[in-house]
Amino acid sequence: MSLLLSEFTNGLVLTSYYALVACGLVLIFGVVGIVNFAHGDFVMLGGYLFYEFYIVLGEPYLAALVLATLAEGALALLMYVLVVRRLVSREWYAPLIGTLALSVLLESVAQAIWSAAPRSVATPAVFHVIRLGTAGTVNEQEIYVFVGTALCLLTLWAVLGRSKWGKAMRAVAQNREACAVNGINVSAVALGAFVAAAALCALAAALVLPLQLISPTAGDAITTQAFVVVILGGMGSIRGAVVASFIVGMVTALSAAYMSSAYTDAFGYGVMILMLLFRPVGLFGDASLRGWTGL
Amino acid sequence: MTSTRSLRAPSRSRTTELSIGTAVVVVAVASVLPLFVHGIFILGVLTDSLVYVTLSLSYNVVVGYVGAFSFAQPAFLGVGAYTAAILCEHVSVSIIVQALVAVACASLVALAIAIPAFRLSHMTFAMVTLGFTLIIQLFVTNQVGLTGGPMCISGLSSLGLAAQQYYVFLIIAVLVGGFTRAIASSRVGRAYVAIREDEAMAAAAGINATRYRYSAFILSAGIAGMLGAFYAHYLTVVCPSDMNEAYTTTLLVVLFLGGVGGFWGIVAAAFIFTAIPESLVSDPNIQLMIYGLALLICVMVMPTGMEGLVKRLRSTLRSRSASRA
Repeated sequence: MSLLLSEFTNGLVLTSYYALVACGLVLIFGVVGIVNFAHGDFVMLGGYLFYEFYIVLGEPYLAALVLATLAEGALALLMYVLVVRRLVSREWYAPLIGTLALSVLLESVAQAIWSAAPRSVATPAVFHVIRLGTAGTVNEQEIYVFVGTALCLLTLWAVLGRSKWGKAMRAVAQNREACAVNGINVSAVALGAFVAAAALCALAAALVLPLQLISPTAGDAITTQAFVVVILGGMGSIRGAVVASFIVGMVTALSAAYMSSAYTDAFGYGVMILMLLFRPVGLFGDASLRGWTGL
Repeated sequence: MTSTRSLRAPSRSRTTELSIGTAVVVVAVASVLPLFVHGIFILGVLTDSLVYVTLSLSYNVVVGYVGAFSFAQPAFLGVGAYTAAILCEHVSVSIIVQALVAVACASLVALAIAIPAFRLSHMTFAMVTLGFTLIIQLFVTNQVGLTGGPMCISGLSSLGLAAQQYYVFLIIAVLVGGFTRAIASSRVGRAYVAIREDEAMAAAAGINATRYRYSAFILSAGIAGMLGAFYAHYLTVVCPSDMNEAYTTTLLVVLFLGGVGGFWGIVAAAFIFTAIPESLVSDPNIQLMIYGLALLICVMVMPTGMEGLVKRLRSTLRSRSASRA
C-alpha cells in the first residue's frame, strides 16, 4: 500500500514538472512559432540559477525561487533578442538546428562554469517527511511542488483567458498575419511568451530540483520528455499538455517501479511513437495543423 | 503519371565538367597520399576523416537533399557495426556479405522509423528519430547476451595495415560520393529539391513527397549501415557509445559549415573537423562549446556554409569580369 502511494506521489511530482515545462513549450510553439530544443536547458539553467541564489548566496527559499525566475527571464530576454528572433519565420532547419546549437552551447557553458559533477539543491523541506497514517509518507517539498504547480497553472489559465496580453498571445498563436494587420506587436507578444515560458521552466526547476540533482546534461532528458508530452497532448494545446503530462508522469513513475528501470525512458518514446502512428495530432490537437510545414 | 519532362537534366554544362575534373584531381591526390605521408598516426587521422566524409555525405541526403532533421544517423552507423560484429561471432563470412547484411538491417530499421516519423512535421520527425536512437541505444546496452552491452564486442578482424585501411575507406568514400552526386543531379535528386523547397508545387507536379522522403531516409541509413560494417572492422571493437546521438551535433556542424545540400564544402568541412579538433583544443567540453557556437552562427548568418560563400565569390567575380568585357 505504501509503495503505491509513493509511486502516486512520484507520478504527481513528475506530472507537475512536465506540466510546467510543457506549457512553456506550447507557448513557444504557438506564439513564437518555433521548435525549442533548448527548452530542457532552460530548466537546467533555472536550476543552476536557483543553486546560486539559494546555496551560494544563502537566500531563503521563496526569495531564491523568485530571484531565479527573474534572472532566467532576463537571460531569456537576452537570448530572444540575440538569437531566437533571427530563427523565426525562416527556412525549415533554422529553429530546429538553431535551438539545438543553443542547447549544446548552454550545456557546455554550464559545464564550464559549474563542472559536470551533479549537485544537490536540497531544501530542508525535502527532509520534513509527513506520515499519512498507514498509507505512506510524503515530504514537504513535494507538497510545495503540487501547490506551486497548481498556482502556476491557475495563473496561466487566468492570464491566457482573461488578460489582454493573454488574448494577444492566443491571437498570435492562431494567425500571425491577421494580428500584425490588426496592430498587435507580434514580436513583442512573442518575446513575452518566450520569457514567460523560460520563467515557467525556472519555477519548475526551483520546485522540483531540490528533490533531485542538477547536472549540465540534465536538460536533454527533460527536453525529450517535454516533447513527448506536447506531441501526446497536441501541438498547440495547453490543456493537452497538462493532461498528457499526467499520463506521461504516471506511466514513467509506474514503469520505474514495476519494470526494469533501464527501459523507463523508452516508455515515454513508445507512447509518443504509438500516438504518432494512430492519432498524429495528439489528444487535443488541432486537426487542421496538417502537412509537413506545420509545427 | 504526370510528365516530368520539365525536370529532365539539361545537357552537360561547364560546371559539370569542372566538377568531374575536380573529382579526378582530388581522388588522384588522395590515392597517392599514403606514399608521401609517413606515420601511422597521420594515416589514421586521414582514415578517420574519410569515415566522417562518407557519413556526412550520407547524412546530407536526408538533411540537405530532402530536408529533414534526423538524429538517427549515428544509430544507423551503430546498427551496421553491430550487425557485422554479431554476424562475425556466429558465422564466418566475407566483409562484403557482412556489409550487405548491414545495409539490409539498417534499411529495415530506417523503414520502421520512417512510418511514425514522417507523420506530421519536421519537429515530430526529429523527435521520433531521437526517440528511436535512444531506444536502440538502450536495447544494445541492455541485451548483454546479444551485444555484450557496455562491455562491447571486441576481437573483430582488422581490415589490414594502416595504408590498406586508408584505401578501403577511400574507395568507399569515392563510391558514396559519386553515388550521392549522381542522385543529386538525377531526376530523383530534383524531386528531392522540389519537395524540400515547395511541397505543394511538387505535389502538383505529381511527386509523391512521402515516398521520396522514405527513399532518401532509407538510402541514407543503408549507406551509414554499410559504413558501419567496415567501421566495426576498422575499430575492431564495437561499443554502444559509438551510436551516441551527440555525434549528430558534429555531423550538423560539418554539414552547415560546409554548406548543407552541397558536396565539396561538406567534404572539406569533414576533413577540417576531423583533423583539427584533437590538435587544437584538448578539453572536449570547450570543443563542444565551439561546435555549438559555430553551428549557431552558421544557422543564423551563413546557412549556405563555405560552399555558398565560394559560389557567391565566384559569381561576383564572374559578373565583374562580364561587366568589364
